Amino acid sequence: MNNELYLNPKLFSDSENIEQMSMLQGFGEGLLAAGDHDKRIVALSADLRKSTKVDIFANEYPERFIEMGIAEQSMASVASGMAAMGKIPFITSYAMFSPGRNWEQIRTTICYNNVPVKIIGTHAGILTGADGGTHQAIEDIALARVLPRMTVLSPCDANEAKSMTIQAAQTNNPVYIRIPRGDTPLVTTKETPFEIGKAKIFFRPDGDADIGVIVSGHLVYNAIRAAKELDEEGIRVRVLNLSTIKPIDIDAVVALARQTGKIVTVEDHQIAGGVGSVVAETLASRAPALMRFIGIQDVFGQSGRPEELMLYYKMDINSIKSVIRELYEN
Amino acid sequence: MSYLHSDKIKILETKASEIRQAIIDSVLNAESGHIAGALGMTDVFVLLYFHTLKHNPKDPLWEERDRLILSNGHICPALYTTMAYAGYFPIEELKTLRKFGSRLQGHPHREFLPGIETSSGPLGSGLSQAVGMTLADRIDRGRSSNRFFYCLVGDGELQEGQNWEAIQMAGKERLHNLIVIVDRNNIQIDGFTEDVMPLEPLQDKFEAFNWHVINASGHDFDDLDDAIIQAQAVFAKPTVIIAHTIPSKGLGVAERDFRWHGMPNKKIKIEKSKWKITI
Ligand SMILES: Cc1ncc(C[n+]2csc(CCOP(=O)(O)OP(=O)(O)O)c2C)c(N)n1
Ligand SMILES: [Mg+2]
Repeated sequence: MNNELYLNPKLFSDSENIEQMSMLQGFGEGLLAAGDHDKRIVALSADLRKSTKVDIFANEYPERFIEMGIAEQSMASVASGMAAMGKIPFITSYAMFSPGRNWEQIRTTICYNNVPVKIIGTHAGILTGADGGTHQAIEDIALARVLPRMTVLSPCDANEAKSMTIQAAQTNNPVYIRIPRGDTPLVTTKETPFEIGKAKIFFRPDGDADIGVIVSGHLVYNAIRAAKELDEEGIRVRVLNLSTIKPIDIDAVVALARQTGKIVTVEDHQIAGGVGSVVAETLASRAPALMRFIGIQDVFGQSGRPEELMLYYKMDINSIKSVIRELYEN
Repeated sequence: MSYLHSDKIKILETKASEIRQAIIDSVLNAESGHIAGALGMTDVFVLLYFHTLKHNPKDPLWEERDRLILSNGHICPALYTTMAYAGYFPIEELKTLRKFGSRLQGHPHREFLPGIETSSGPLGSGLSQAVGMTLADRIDRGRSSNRFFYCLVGDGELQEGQNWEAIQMAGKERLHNLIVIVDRNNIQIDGFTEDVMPLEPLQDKFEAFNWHVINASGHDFDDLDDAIIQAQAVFAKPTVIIAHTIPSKGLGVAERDFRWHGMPNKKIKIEKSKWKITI
């Protein structure tokens, strides 16, 4: 465990009973806090006020809240127009529809124009559950990261989602934050420092590590638990929380690869174009490492409870452990 | 003018009330899913599957069938349940709604369940697909084709701009065998449609795009059937039937309440007896 980070002590003492909280709540509180400070902040919704938690801001600042109706494409460009007039718009919807459906509007009217619109894509990943494959955005990191000027963020828990939202409000460029549905374990505490662009080692066993795990989003919890259990088997794994996917923290990623020579990436997203790709691209020219990629393997999601889907798509603790073990023995 | 025999209407009414109860049971069992739109559109589904559509539940891919495109995929509990009662698959299977491995995905998936013409859930793209199917039908069979293409859309859903791109296209092409049925229940997730983003004057908008418009009660089989027969006969334009429906029709606690668009988990705790259809 990394003490300077003030992670949740239960992560190690009582990880099964760790507190849970929704990252959407973290975002909602973060937006309200940012909005309290900066009156330029406005929020837009496309008929999903409650389920994205933008309602926390909307209830407090109705005059700075815009209801678009079900019109995500227009929402992106309306936000661009507002940004051109000095506002800092947060556009909120399910990730499947924003940046999914409105990708070209985001590309041209937000990124090409280089205006500070913040895109909040909720219900990202398979935790979306019963709604099924149409609603599980597992391509959104890829969509966002190919856009010049876009910062891409993926919080590991509700605290990080809150800090991230507050900091995203302060940058002058477009930012995408992907947020899953439902409660997830609180890996960090309110004291845990966060800075856009910095990746932190969240789990560090004694001595040199054998394997580096680079993980983003809610799976940080599973990755840490896998690393901890493997430590008991004598396999030493460092876990790097890559909460800023772009711009990637080159130093942190390269250092981990140099130290271990073996990297496993973990994400609730397609392997193609996601965290694994970013890490591979970063390492290939600097510190090539043997790699394994945990994530969705070029298929769509489907209905099911989140636990069932995590098991099926091999993102559960045991699956992560077996991939790490295999690479260790390789 | 009435085309339906009163005996037939009785049969349809009985079916509709069984199906409404089965929708509730399957959504309760799934512990999530969309109630308001499904119950509001039940009568439309019943009329289509038990009277209007040319189809064969034992041969879902029969080439001569009419096509039913559900654009507002979230109301699929009504589609699935009606299909089960029409003989597409065992009624038992409704218990698997939204569960892992089920053919009844949270939103319809065309590869999972034969008889589903297209996958939907993300709003706003069904009508374009229906236009595409109708155009292809015209290429193959000309303007005297006797296959009809029925596309169901939500009223809130019409706020998506893509619908209007498809509406202008269908008007230009005079797709007379395309029949759109709008679920005009006046609600969407964030509230009443006219508060969130007004649709009215809806009839004028369609007419301005060169559509034939019929208003009908979504709960009166006679009226709905008349509308469909008229729509089938109109040749110069595509037709939209604005079906005026009551969201959550039949479920007393939820009727007309936009908060029941989806079923919030806490509502499940309502006593089982309150979940009875009362019509
Ligand atoms: C493109 C897209 N945006 C948002 C949603 C989320 N969503 C699902 S249903 C719905 C409201 C639809 O309103 P309406 O068509 O009137 O259906 P009703 O609530 O009456 O069933 C919304 C916004 C979606 N499924 N697709
Ligand atoms: Mg509606």
